[in-house]
Amino acid sequence: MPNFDMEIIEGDSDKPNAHTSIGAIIEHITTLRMQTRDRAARRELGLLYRKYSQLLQKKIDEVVDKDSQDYLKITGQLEKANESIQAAIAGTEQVANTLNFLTDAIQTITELAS
Amino acid sequence: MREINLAKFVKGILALCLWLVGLQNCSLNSRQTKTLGDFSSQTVTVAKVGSKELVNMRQGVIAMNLSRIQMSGQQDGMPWYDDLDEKFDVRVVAIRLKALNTLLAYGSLLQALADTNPEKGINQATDRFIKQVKGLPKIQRSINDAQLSALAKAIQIIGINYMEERKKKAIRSILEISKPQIDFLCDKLADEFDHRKDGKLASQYLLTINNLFFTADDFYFDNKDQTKKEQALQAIQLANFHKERKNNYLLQISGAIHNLKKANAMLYKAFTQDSFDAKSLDDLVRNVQSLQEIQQILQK
Repeated sequence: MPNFDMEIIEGDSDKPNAHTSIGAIIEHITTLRMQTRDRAARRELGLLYRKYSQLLQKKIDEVVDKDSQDYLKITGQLEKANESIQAAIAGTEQVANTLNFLTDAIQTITELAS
Repeated sequence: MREINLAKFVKGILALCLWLVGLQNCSLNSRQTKTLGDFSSQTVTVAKVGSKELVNMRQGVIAMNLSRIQMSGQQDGMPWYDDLDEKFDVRVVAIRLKALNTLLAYGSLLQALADTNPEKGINQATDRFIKQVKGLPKIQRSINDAQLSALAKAIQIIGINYMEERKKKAIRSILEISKPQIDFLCDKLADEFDHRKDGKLASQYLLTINNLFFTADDFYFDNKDQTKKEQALQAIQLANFHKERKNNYLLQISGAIHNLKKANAMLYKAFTQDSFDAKSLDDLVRNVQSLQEIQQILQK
């Protein structure tokens, strides 16, 4: 019986870097298993599949939870940047507001003086 | 009340005008406008497509797990009815959707800031101001209508250029603060759609697809009954559909998010390495000509 573990890890020489991730190893095991009807080979591949899928699931559980924390932190910071942009948009009326204030002030002073 | 020294007043205004208009490159140049437009439109695409696909991936994982459970029942180490969405639980997906929406808001707000045009508001306020000044008794004797119009024009030029400069400074300052955050989000989100990155959501999608292939193959292999074989084939078809999406569509989304990061770098560069272009030069020449005309009117 072929040594599937070695074959999977070494990969296919026609496809360099094809097996650089656990996900790629899992896909390769699945393909090999679907191609063989040999019970012993299927059992062996089944064990390998279980090993690598557990490894990948463990990694997914760790990474996704850690990433969620990172997303919350960075999204919060970006929301503050968005508030700054909104304030800057509101600030584009500053000159007009100042002129209007001056106009109102002149009007009030004129009325008081007359 | 002391007489208003108009000559001094006008000279002051013009000096300020020349300082503001002549020494600074006020409005956004064409490179800045283009890179901002590119970035903003890419955030819209990425956020819309990414959000939709995150939801599709979740629904796909649920459908594939259901299909697998219908064939195999409870399997050791495989998700059961109470965990059909696996790592695509509502909270995990919602956090990423919020990140995409915040990115979308950032791109849209930046564009809105760039598009703000203070001209109309300043022109109206100037007209009101000049009318009020014109009504003052001392002014009526010392300045004619043409000179008042020239003053109004000077105020408008100063006001608009001052606001354009402030707008540009605000964008530059926001980009300087936000660039690392945008880059970080782009890297993280791009990986979520790339199944070659172990531990990301796309790798959960990959695992669920392969679990279904694995179970369906066993189900086909172990059963003689034609109906069950057909059920297995349908499951393989479902897994194949999602495998195709994973290998093509999801990688395209990942690529688009990487491109958004590049667009952010271009945008940052355009604002931090400010330069004069043909449009800026045109604006400057027009403003200087206007100032010369104003000066001539006021000196009469």
